[in-house]
Amino acid sequence: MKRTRSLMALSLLAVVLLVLTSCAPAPTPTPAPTPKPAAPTATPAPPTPVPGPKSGGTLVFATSIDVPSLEPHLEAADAWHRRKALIYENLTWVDNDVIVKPQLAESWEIKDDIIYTFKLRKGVLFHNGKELDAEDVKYSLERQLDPKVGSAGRGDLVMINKIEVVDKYTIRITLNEPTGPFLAALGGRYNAVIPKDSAPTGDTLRRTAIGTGPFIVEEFVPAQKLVLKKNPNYWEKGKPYLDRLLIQVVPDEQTALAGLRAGTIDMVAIEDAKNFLLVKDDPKLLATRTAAIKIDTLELPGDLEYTKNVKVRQAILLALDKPAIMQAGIMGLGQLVGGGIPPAMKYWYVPVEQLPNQKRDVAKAKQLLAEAGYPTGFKMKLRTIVGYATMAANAPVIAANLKDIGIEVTVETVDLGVWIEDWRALREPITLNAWGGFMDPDLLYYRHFHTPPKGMDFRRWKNARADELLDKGRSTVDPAKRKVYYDEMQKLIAEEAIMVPLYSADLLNAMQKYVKGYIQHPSGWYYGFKDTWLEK
Amino acid sequence: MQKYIANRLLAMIVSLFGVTIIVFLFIRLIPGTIVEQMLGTEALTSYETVESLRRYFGLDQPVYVQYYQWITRVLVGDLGNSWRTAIPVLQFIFSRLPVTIELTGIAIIVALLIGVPAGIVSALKQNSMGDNLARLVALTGLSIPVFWQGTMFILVLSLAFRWAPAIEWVPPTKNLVANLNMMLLPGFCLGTASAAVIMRMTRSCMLEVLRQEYIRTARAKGLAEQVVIIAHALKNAMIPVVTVAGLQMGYLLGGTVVVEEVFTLPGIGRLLLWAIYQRDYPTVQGTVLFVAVMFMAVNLLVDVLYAFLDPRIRYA
Repeated sequence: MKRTRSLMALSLLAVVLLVLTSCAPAPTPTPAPTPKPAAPTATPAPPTPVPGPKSGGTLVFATSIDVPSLEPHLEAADAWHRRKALIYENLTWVDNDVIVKPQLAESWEIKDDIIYTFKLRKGVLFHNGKELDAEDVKYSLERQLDPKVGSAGRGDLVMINKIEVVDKYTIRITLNEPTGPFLAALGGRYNAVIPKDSAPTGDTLRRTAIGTGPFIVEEFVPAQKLVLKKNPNYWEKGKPYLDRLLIQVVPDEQTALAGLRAGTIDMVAIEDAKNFLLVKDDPKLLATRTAAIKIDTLELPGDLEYTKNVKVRQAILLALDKPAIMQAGIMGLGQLVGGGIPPAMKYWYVPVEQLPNQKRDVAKAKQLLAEAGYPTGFKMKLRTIVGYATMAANAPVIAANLKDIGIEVTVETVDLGVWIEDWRALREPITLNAWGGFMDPDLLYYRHFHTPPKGMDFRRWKNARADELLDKGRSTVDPAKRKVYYDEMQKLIAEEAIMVPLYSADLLNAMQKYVKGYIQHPSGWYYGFKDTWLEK
Repeated sequence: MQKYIANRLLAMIVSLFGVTIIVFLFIRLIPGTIVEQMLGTEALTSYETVESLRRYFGLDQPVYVQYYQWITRVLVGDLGNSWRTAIPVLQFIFSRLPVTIELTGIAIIVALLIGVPAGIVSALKQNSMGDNLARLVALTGLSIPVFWQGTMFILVLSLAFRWAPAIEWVPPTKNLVANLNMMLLPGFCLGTASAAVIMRMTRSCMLEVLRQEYIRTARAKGLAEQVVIIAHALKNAMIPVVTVAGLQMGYLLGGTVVVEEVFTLPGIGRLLLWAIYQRDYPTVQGTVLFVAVMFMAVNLLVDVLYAFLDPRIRYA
């Protein structure tokens, strides 16, 4: 009886399959006043832009990182911020050298360090044809600042006291107090200028987008693809060059690279360094590395049994072989970091060689441990997060390094949710960490290291000198003066070892040789597609 | 019969309630919520935003209140909207369904096309070199995980022949060639493990049937060997094989999660995986519930039809 029932179940399912398959919906067609930077660090060069770009064509770009929604002020996914740079724009942007430049603002004047008057570009059109004016900018900033909207970027703009429309193309923003990172914050990841009254509810802008950027959203299928088409009215005349850009989510990087080899994909963003090594010598492809604004760190909280002693923290730092850790974690495809600011932030970065405690010295580490009262070492746990392959690779090297000075490390791996809960509750144990996307030293340091209530001091450091430096860095507008404070901050972190920055993983791309002009922004954002063209 | 159908429908409703409770509780056992997913690292610093978003999604309510709110909407046919995308869950599911169904269909066809002939040949040439080879291949097919097989296929084909499956799914009704270009390889990968099971079952059933008295009688009557095998032996040997093939359907639908991820197929399996990663509770709950309803409905239809077709069956 069971046999016959199974036969019929099979037949019925087959019929259902056929009917449903034939009823499949038809697909939408697819393609298709700033400081001068310091000399660039010796990072591998991105592809050199070739003169004579030509317009047209479709570029298929594969990435494993998925975009859940297009909400301009709410969505926090890094994958969205990367794409968002192509659709939405702001008064300012932070360029490839991490220097603030005008974008929708043509220019600005600063009075008394707190009154910023921005002149807007004229004739900029939104994707719906409406011309950009000062009311749109005011509406967008106020929406982001509205606590009821719930934008995570609100904290970046709380220095704003008042926003006034002076005339159609002029807007004045008054701050509560002088704030050094204000211009960088205006170009931050949660900002986007949208047409006034275009977001009556939170849901509307999750699936559609009306920006001023070089590309217009043609189709968005969550967890699958984002199809962009050229904005023919883009204010930067002649750009973008591509008619269409298909950003396809390919979860398995091997599959994406197979498509690249076979020619069905034009360009791939590579997350796994091992995969980069597989394609970097392929004569038919071009593989590029770009120094990034992100860091992998070892956190040594200041209120735990052992690490509350600065000598123990310094001993741990001195015992570490950072190049070996970087080799294990990302196959060496990155830059060493000492004070927190990665080399990609060229203007602010203090080279590792100029910072204390950066070279492995086991003898000195043992001596410091003995002075701290632990001549034979101790046992400690090191936390990593489930699914973070680089952490899993770094932990054994760190454990081996620390064993050399008598510290026995046990690795514990927890879910991201658990990790975040403990981090927020200020009870995180010794842990590996990875973060990025900060366009200004203030955005990197202030919340993390300043004591409450102004900051969070996640590592329970309670360092008065750090507070002083961070307050001065924030309240000073002149970049040259700010740099003095942040140079000292990097030295202080290297000296105190409350956080041990290990390295900054490079951004990796592989593309067909006919893909020209793409320059990777160090944030990982895809600004480069505006200048990309196809030589075929 | 009517009473039977009524009883089955009642049992189905009870089972579905069980499914809703299990999926509702289990997804909430995974640490982290959509709020951490939405806010990313900002969740570390902005308490006010975290709390306001928890209230927005109703996560500040006790679990039983959340369940009540969800189930009362489900009862009127509303699976809600995806938290992460604001797309209605049902619409989300229907947009993905054709891919999974096609993939499962191809896999079953592949499994039958490989498994049945191999099993027959293996049985007819028992203990020969061909038989041993077929059994070895079957054992290998069973032992290789689908994800590894898929990755290896992609790697080897792209390195050796510079060929890779398409990355965008098109319905077969629109462009059959483009569709098969994408679907055949994953369907093949998914089907091979089942082919091994079917091959082994076909072989053992054929061996058993070939030893039956009536086969000897057929041969004694002077029937051609082909007629004996196809008309007499195979017909009876296939009944348990079809049972196994039916069981494989459930296995294959489970396997689509992995294959869809490896081959970038926009099906239900990948949707479910994505929704779990995103902690998009309405999508997870809705998808699991939908699949459960589909299976139970098909089962019920089979049982009902079965009674009509086979008069020996008495349900009442």
